[in-house]
Amino acid sequence: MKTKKLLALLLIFLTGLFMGTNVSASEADFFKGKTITFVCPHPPGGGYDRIVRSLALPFQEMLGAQVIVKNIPAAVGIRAANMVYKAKPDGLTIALLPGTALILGAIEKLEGVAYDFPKYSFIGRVTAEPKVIFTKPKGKINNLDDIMNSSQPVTFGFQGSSDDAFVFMTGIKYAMNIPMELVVGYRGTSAIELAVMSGEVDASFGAAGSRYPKIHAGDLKALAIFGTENPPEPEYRNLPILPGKYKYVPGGEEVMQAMLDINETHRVVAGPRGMSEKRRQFLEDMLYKTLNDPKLKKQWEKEGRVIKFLSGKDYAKLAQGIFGKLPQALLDAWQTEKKKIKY
Amino acid sequence: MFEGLSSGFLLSISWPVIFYLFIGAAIGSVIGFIPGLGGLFALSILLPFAYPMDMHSGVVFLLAAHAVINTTGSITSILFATPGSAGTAATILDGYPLAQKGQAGRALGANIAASALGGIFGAVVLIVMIPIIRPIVLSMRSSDFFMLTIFGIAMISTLSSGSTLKAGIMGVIGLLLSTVGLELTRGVQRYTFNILYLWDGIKLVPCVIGLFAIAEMMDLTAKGAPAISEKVQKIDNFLEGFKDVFRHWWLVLRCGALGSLLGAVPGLGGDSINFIAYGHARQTSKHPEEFGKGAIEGVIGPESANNAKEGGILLPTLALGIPGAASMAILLGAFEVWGIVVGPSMLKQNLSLVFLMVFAIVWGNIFGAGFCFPLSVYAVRLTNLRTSLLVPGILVFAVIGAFASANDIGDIVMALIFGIIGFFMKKLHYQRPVFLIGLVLGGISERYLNLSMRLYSYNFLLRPLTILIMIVVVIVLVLPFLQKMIKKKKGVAVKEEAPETSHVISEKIFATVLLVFFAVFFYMAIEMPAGANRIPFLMSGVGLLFAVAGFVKAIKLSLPPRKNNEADYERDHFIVGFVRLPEVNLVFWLVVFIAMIYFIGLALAIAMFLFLVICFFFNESFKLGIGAALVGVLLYYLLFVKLLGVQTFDGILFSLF
Repeated sequence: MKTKKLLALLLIFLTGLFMGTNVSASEADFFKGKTITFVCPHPPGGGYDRIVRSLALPFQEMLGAQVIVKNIPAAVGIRAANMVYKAKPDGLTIALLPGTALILGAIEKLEGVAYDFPKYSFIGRVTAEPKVIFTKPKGKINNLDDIMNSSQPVTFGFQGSSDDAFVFMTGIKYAMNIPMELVVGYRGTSAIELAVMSGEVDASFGAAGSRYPKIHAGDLKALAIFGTENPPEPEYRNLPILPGKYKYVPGGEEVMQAMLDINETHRVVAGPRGMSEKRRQFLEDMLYKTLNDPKLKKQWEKEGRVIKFLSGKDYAKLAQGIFGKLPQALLDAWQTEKKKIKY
Repeated sequence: MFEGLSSGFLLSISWPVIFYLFIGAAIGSVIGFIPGLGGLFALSILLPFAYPMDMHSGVVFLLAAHAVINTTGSITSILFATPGSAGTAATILDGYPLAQKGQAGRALGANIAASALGGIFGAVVLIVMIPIIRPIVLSMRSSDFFMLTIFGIAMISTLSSGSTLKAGIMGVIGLLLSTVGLELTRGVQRYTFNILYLWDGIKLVPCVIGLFAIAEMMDLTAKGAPAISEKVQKIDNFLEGFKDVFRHWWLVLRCGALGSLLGAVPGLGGDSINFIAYGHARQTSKHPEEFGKGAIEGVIGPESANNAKEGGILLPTLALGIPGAASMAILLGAFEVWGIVVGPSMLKQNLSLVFLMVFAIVWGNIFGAGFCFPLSVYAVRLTNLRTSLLVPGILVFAVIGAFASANDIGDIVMALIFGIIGFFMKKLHYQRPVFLIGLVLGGISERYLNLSMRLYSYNFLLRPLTILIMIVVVIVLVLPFLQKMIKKKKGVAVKEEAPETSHVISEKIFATVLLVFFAVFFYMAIEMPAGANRIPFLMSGVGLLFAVAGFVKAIKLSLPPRKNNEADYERDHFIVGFVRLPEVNLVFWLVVFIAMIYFIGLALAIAMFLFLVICFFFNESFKLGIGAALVGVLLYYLLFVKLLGVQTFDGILFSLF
C-alpha cells in the first residue's frame, strides 16, 4: 500500500516535471517566428531608444522572433503607456516604461491616464539611476551645506511641475526645511544645464548618469547624490548622500523614503495587464540573461549606464507599495509648490 | 591653430574617412529628398551604423549626412511644393512658381549653388566663432532668448503681402495654435479637447506637409492643369540659376550669416530660420512685389540660410555640450560612446577633431551639391508628368512622410486637416508663412517670457543685450516704412501691391469660420486656469477683433454695386456644385485613404488609393491604375520599409489575427 502510494507520488512528480518542461518549451516555441513589438515611449536616438534597441537584438536572437522597436513619443510617455496597457496580453507587445513619470502622472490624476500602474505585467527593471544635485563650478554654492545654510533661497531650475526632478526637490525642500525657490519653464535638460552654467539659476537636480558628461568635463559641479548608494565615478564617489544623517522635519524621513522608492521604479520592461505568469516569467528570464550578457554590459558601461535588475514580482511589490503608502505631506508639499508658480 | 587646421584637413581626405564622408553625404541626400524625414530621422537611423566605425569616420559619416539634408529636401519643395523637411518650406514660396513657369532648372541650380555656398559659409563661421561662442552664450539669459523670438515674429511683417488684416489674422492664429497642448509648468491642458494626440501640440512636420504639399496638389487639381508645368524644363536653366547666386552674392552672405548666427542660439528652433531669411531677402529686394510669384532671391535667401545653419548649430554643441538642434542631441550621444568630451577642453586638446568636423561640413556640402545635380536633372522631368499620375503620387509621398516623422496615424489626419485649411488659405490669399512663423515661435516665445517674468519681473526689459535686440526688432518693423518714405522723397515710383481679388461668397464663409473659431477659443481661454490662459486669452481676443473686422470687410465685398453674373457664378460654383468640385472630391478620396490606412494598413491602402484615384477620379485606364498601384507599393516597401527602416502600420483588421 505504502509502495503504491509512493509510486503514485513519484508518477505525479515526474508528470509534473515533464509537464513543467513541456510548458517552458512551449513558451519558447510560442515566440519562434512571431513578431514582438518593443515600444519605446520616447523619440528615436535618445537614452530610452538606445536601451530598447540594445535589448531588442539579443531578444531577437534568444527568442527566434522578430523584434520591432516602435517609438511612440507623445504626451510624456502616457500615450505609449496607455497603448501597451490595453494591448493583447500575449507577450508580443512589451515596452520600456518610465516608471517614475508614469507613477507621478497617475498620482497627479492627469487626464488621459488610462492605465493602472501596479497592474502592468512587470518583466523586470533594467536600471534605476540615482539623482544628483549640481551647480556651476566656482559659483556661490560649493557644497550641500551652502544650500542648507543659505540665507537667501537657492534657485533651482526645472522643466515643469510634473517633472520627477521637481517633485523630488519639493520633497527635499519640505523634509529638510531648506530655503529654495523652484523655477519651472525650461524645455529639456539641456536648457536647464545652460541656465545653471550661465548662473541664471543656482542649481538643479537630475539623473546622475545623464549629467555626468558635463560634470566630468568641468562644466557642472556635483554637490550631493540622492539614492541608495554613491555611483562609482570619481566625481560622485565621495559626495554626501541623501537621505542621510541630516535633520528632518517631523514626517520628513517618510517623505524621503517614499521618494527613494519612486526613484527605484525608474526604467522597467513591462507587458500589458493580464499576461500569464508563465509567459511573464519566461520573458523575465530572457531579460535577465540579456542584462548579464558581457557584450551588453560593456556597451552600457561605455554609455555610462548601470544595470540594476529587479525581478518583475519585486518590482510589482515596490510599485504597489508606493501607491499604498505615499505620505500626504509629500502630496501637500507638491501642491503647495505648484500653486506658487507664477506666470 | 594652423596645426589643428592642417591636421583636420589631412584627416578629412584620408582613407577611410573620405569614403565614409562620401557615403554619409549620399545617404543624407536620399533621406533629404523624401518628405517628412529630415535630419533627426537621418541621424537616428544612421547612428547604429556609425558606432562600429572608428571615431573619425563615424563623426564625418553622421555630419556629412546631416549637412546635405536641406539641399536635396529643396528639390521636392521646388518641383512639387512638398517640403523635404520644415527647414525647406520657405523655398516653396518662389521655387514652385518658378517650376510652374518652366524655370524649375533655374530654381534648382540656384538651390544647389546657394546651399553649397551657404553650407561652406556656415563652416567658416563655425571656425571663426568657436573660440568666442561659449562666453557669448553663457552671458545670455531667458530675456535675451525671448527678445530673439520677438525678432523672429517681427519678421512676419516682412513676409506679409497684400492684405495687412489677413496677415495679422494668420500671425495671431499661428501664435494661438502654438499654445495647444499640455502646458508643462502646471500641467494645464490647453485646447486639447481631451485628445491625447494634442498633448504635444500641433506638430510642425504634418502641418507643413498639409499646408503646402496637400494644399498645392488640391490647387493643381482644382485648376484642371494637365501638369505642374506644360513647358519643357531646360537643363540650360541650371546654369542660369548658378549665375543668379553669384549675382546675388551679398544676399548669400547676409542670409548665410543670419542662418549660422540664429542656428547658434540654442533653444530658438531652427525651423523658422528659412522663413526669417526669406523675409529678409524680400525686405531688402529691389522688387519685393515679385516675391511669391517666382523671385529667384526667394530661393537663394532661404537656401543659403538653411545650410549655413548646420555650422551654427554645431557651435553650442561643441563649445558647451548644449545641442543647437534636436538632431545634435543624437550627435552628442554618439560623442559619449566614442569618448569625445566637448567643451573648452576639446578646443584646447582636440582642435584637429574640431577642424575635421568643419571639413566634414564643407566636403559634405560639395558632395551633396554633386548628388543634387543628377537627382535634379531627372526629377525635373516629373513636372511635365500628367496630373493624373503626379497628384496621387505626391499625395502618397506626403502621407508617408507625415506618418514616418513620428509613426503616428494622427499625423496623417493632421496633415489632411491642414491640407484643406492650406488650400483655402491659398485661394483666399491668407499667407501661410506668416501662420507658420507664429506657430513655430509662439510657444518658445511664451516660455521665455514666463521665465523672464519669474526670474526678473519687468526688470528683464532693462538688460543691455535685451535692449540691443529690441532695437533690432524696432528697425525690422520700421524699415519698410522708412524705405517707402525715402523712395517717395526721391521721387522714385513705389510699386504698390496689386489689390487682391477673391471669391466673394468664399470670403464670407471663411470669415464666418474664423469668427466662430476665435469665439470658441476665446471662450475656452476664459475657462482655463489663470496664468496659463494669458497668451491664449490675449491672442484669441485680438483674433476675435481681427475676425470681426474681416467679416465686416467680407460682407462689404458682397454689397451692391456688383456684377450679377459674378455672384451667380460664385453661388453655383461653391454651394450648388459643392460635391462636384474636383478639389472637394479629392478631399473625399483622402479621407477614404486615411480610413483605409487605419483598417487595412499603409501598404494595401497605398495600392488601393492609387488605383481608385487614378481610375475613378482622374478617369484613366485600369491598366494604368493597377500599374501605378504596384509601383507605389513596391517603392514604399523597398525604399521606406527595407532601406530606410520606416516603421509600417498594419491596420487594425490585421492586428485582430
